[in-house]
Amino acid sequence: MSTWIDFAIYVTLIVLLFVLLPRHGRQFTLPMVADRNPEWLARNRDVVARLERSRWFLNACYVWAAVSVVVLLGVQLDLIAQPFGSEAPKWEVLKDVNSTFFILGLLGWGVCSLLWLRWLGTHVPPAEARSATLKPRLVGDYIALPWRIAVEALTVLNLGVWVAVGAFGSAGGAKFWGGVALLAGMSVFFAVYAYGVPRRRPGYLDRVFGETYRRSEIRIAYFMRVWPVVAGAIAMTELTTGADLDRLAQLVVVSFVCVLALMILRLRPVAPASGANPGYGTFVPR
Amino acid sequence: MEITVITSSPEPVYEQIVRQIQDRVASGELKPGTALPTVRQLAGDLQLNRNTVARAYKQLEDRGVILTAGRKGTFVRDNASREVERIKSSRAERSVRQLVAALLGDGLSRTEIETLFNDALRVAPPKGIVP
Repeated sequence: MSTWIDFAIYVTLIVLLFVLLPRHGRQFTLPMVADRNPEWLARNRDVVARLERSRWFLNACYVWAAVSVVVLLGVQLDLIAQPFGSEAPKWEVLKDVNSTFFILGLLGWGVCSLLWLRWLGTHVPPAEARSATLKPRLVGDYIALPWRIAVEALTVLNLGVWVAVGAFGSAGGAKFWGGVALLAGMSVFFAVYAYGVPRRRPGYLDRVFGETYRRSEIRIAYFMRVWPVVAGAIAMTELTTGADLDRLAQLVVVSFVCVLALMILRLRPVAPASGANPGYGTFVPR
Repeated sequence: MEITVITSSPEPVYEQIVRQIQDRVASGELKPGTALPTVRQLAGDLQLNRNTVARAYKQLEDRGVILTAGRKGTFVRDNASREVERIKSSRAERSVRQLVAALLGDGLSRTEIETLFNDALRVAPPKGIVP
């Protein structure tokens, strides 16, 4: 398989995460402030103008994306010396370079998000009028029962096969059971996450995107619950056939993240159904 | 179906919740057997302390408007609208009695009070509109 395929997948990930998502997210800055306190925003038009002018985060993301792509291209064209050991194959170097830029970029993004939320909490007082639905939130309202049953069955089947192979098959040992524990831990973690999404307290994004946001989040949570199953299947194939699927697994992971990013890109802001936050609609992008 | 609370209102927040749920029961928007959100969900959505919502639910339960069935959740009771009407009637009766007593105390005659009530009813706005 050509390393250009790896390169293309990694560049797609970078463009999605550090170009399209920040561009998409920019339009929600003012709705987030308006959601917290529309009267405050209406009184502070200078802040609106400053927030609309500010492009430093967007520009930083673009620079990060450009640097990431240039370094990946340098590795792909053999213009840059292999930074992670000269013996490593090119696909592995591309993988390591991409992972480094991806993790550092996400950390930077996380820090900026925390700073933004801190700014909101410090400068914008909460609104006095607050609304809530009188309809209980249940998982069944967001994801159909057959899908939930399918995810539960796949999870149980995945863990069952691993335990059965360990107990009755030739595989075993600390490394094997460590892997099983990791799969079980991932399954439990994502199950707890999926359980908590309908119950968690609504935030800015719920109100900016409306019910679509929680629905997407629950779908993403259930989608993520399939991940240990995919990882388990790949590892089981390696174990039983002796094939080396590291590269394939990495590309599947990155493609998985790309799909999640595309799901987020489909979200659009909405004005709330009630007039709980008067003036909110003014800041919803047309 | 939403409720709105105003934290700066002189009416306590838990009473705003009680009143709005009662109004929806009385208007038929909340039908008997309808499930209500958990205390945790409603408190989270309204950014309130859970005790505030729990107090509102307790009051509604004591008044026979809602029923908490353990882990199954909280539901509107079968005869909730009748209970709400009874609560409203009793509250109205109490208010009128207090007002009449106060007016008699101020020295007004029964005829004068009756005339005042009739005048007030004649200029009262249609149901549901509070000036």
